[in-house]
This record gives sequence, C-alpha cells and structure tokens, in this order.
Amino acid sequence: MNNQKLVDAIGLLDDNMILDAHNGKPKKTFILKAVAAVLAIILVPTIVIFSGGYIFGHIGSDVYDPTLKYAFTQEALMDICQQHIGSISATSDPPEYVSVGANPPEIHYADEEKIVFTTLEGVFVYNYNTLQIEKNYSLEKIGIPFFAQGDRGTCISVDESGDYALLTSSENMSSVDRALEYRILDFNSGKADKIKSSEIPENFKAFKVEENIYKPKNDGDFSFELYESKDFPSSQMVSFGDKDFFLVIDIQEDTMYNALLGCAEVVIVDSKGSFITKKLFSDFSKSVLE
Amino acid sequence: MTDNEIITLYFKRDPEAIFYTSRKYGRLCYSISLNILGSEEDSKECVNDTYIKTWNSIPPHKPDVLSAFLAKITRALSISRLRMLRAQKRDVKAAVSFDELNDCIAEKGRVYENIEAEELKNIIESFLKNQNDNERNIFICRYFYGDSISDICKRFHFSQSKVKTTLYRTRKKLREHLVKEGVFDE
Repeated sequence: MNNQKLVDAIGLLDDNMILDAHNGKPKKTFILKAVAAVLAIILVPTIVIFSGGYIFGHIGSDVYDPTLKYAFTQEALMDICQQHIGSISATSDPPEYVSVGANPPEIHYADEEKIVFTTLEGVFVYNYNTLQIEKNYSLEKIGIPFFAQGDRGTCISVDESGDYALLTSSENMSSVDRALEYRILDFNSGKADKIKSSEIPENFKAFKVEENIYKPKNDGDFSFELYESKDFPSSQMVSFGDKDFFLVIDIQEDTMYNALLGCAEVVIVDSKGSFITKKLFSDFSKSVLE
Repeated sequence: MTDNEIITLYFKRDPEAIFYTSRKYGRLCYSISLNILGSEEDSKECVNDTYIKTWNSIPPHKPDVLSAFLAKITRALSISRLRMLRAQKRDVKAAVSFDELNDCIAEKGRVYENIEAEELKNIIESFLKNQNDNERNIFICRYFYGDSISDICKRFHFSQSKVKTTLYRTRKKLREHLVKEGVFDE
C-alpha cells in the first residue's frame, strides 16, 4: 500500500489552513518564551528575595510539613508571586536538622553509589544502596571553621575519585587576618591532614552538576528526564529533612530561569549516561550529626 | 497589485495577469517545486506550467486565496512530474521525502484503496484542526510545501529534534486517526 493518495489528499487541504501554515510564525511558544524571559528578568530577583526567604523560612519553621512536596517551576514561581505566596500551607511539626540560611547545603560529588554533600556543620557521604549516611565529618572536630551564615568559612572540593576532599578555609571575611589553611580529608581513613598550598593535588575540582541536570517531565512532576540544554546551571543546592530530600536546582534554559524545589528523589547519571533515581532520606536520625 | 486585481486581469484575459502573478508569487511557486523536485530546471518548467494552468483555470474558477490556489497547482504539477521522472527510472533526488508519510499508512485498508482524494482530504483536515497551531503548521510546511527540516526550524525557531519529534508524533496520531475513521484496518 503506497502513500500516493495521502500525498494527493494533503495537496487539497483547505486554503486558509495552507495559508496559515505558510504565514505561520511560532505561535504562542515563541511569544510566550520571550514574554516569560522578560518577566523572568524582572520577577526572578523579586521572587528569590521574597519567596526564597519564605520557602526556606518554612522549611525550618514550625509550620513546615515534611510530607508536603513542593515543585517550583518558572510558572509555579510566577503563580506564587501573583498569589503573594499565599497558597502554600503547612501545619505539622518541623523536622530536625534542616539547614537553612545563606549557605545552604551543597552537593560536591555524586556517582552510582554515593553522594557527597556539606551542610553548615559537616561533610556527609550518603550511600544510595544502604540509604544511609555512610560517613560524616564534623568541621569543628576536623579543626577548621564552621560555615557561617552569609559568610562561607570553608571551601570544599571533592576529587574525581570521590575518596578525598580538599578543605580550604578561604572565602572568609576574616581570612585576611590569618593564613589560608588546606586539609585533605580522606573519606576512607577519616583523617584530615594539613597540607601546604604547593602540595594541593591537581585532580581536585568540584563535581560538575551541569552534566547531570534533569528537568521534570511535566511541571510539578517529581520524576526527571534528561535536560537537553548544554547551558550550565547557575547553582545547585540541597537541603534535607528527616523524611524528605529537598533538592533545589536553578537551571538556565535559553534566557529563561527555572527554579525547582523539592523532590523525594535525587537523580544521578551513571557512567553510561543513563540515569537512576533513588529515594533518599527515609530515616534520618539525630546521630548523623554527632 | 492586490490578488483581486490580478484575478480581474485573468477574467479580462489580460496576459499581464501572468506577469503580476509571477512577480508576486513566482518565488513561492518556485520554492515549492524546488522542494519537491530538487532540480532547478524541472522546477522552472513546473512554475511555467503553473502559470499556464492558472491561465486556463481562471475563469471559470475564481480562487478565494490566490496564493493557496497557485501553491496547490504547483505542488500537484511538481508531484506529477516527480512521479513521471521516477517512472522513467530517472535519478531524481527529491528535496522532500514523502516517504515519511508511510508512517501514516497501515498494511491493510480496503477503504483506503477505494477512497476518493476529496474524502481523504476531509478526514485529514478534521484531524489537523484538532492539532495545536505548531503541530498543524509544521505538518503542512513539511508535507504540503515540502519545506526542509532546517527551513522549518528557522521559521518556527525550534530545534531540529523538536521539529522531527513533532512531525513523528503528528504522523503517528494521523495514522491512529485514519484507523479510527475506518480508512485503514486495525
């Protein structure tokens, strides 16, 4: 059976339909993107200032509901802005150990087995397979300054193997008064030996999240699919509670600025480029920080 | 000169009608023909044939939309020539692949074998009317005008993958629609 009749029938389509297609510009999408981009430029700073404070305020406040999942996309943020951030309601008790503030928790490394992230208090290695914090290191016990609100006390990089972290007490307002301090934290031995700046290995660089960014299949979804753009994300942060894992990703899509907050899963690419999803933080306990 | 004025010239049997048609729509007709035939020489001949057929058609026809009227004639003549060249085993490198529309064809379809083009057109039209603007326009650009994927990308500001995906999905949906309408057997 050939397509000849189909080809001929298409040639008889309605004049106006043909004309519309020929004169057709990208309808809605292009215009909407342009409008959204302009709105984003205007609104995002406002949203970040107002909703960001609100969101994080609620994560750590006594009206925070850890079972409530948030998904803030571009549209959602705009909705929130329009509704004066009035639609979110949460009622239950706050979770413990939720880190908030100007230096939210940050992912430094991830592979098929583990994710390394830091909070204001310490460095954590989370294992997907056991769903447990496998290792945790108190910055205070290591002997370097805590992270401070609004003032990063220590800069952390994890090497490509995921076995070592470089801790640098830099970016601190008080660093002008003292020498910078470098330590290599060995996740296997737990030791954090001091080194000189000249001894810093070359292979330390931050985990490149831009290769592993995914976006929701649909707005509001908690399952992610590969994000096709090669644009680098502007930042990535995590925060966590005792029941849910919260992931904040700021993604730049063309000129648009998307922000996603909240998911019960984190998505990591495996070595073959496919991605796996694992549910995290089902049983956070107080002891992980002790 | 407006379309109505050009049509009036046709009705007056004024040869200037062809001159103005060529000046206003020559490029459109040529691009459609070139998209289908991929040959400048054949396309120019097809465009000239379009003018002759238009001259012979108006009157009695009085097209509502002159550009669409010309586009349809050019397309039909170009496809007819393409089929003739292929029948002659000539090496024709058509710029557009109508083979993609095979995705819409099922193996069996008694109705399809006997259906009139006009009836099939109505079914396709009703399908396209239910698609969103971009899906419909991309489909028509590709399979009516024979636009290349890259041309469609430029026009609609979409990536190649988006255009290809949109076309693929629309073809798939059209096939389902044709089955649903009984044109093809399930």
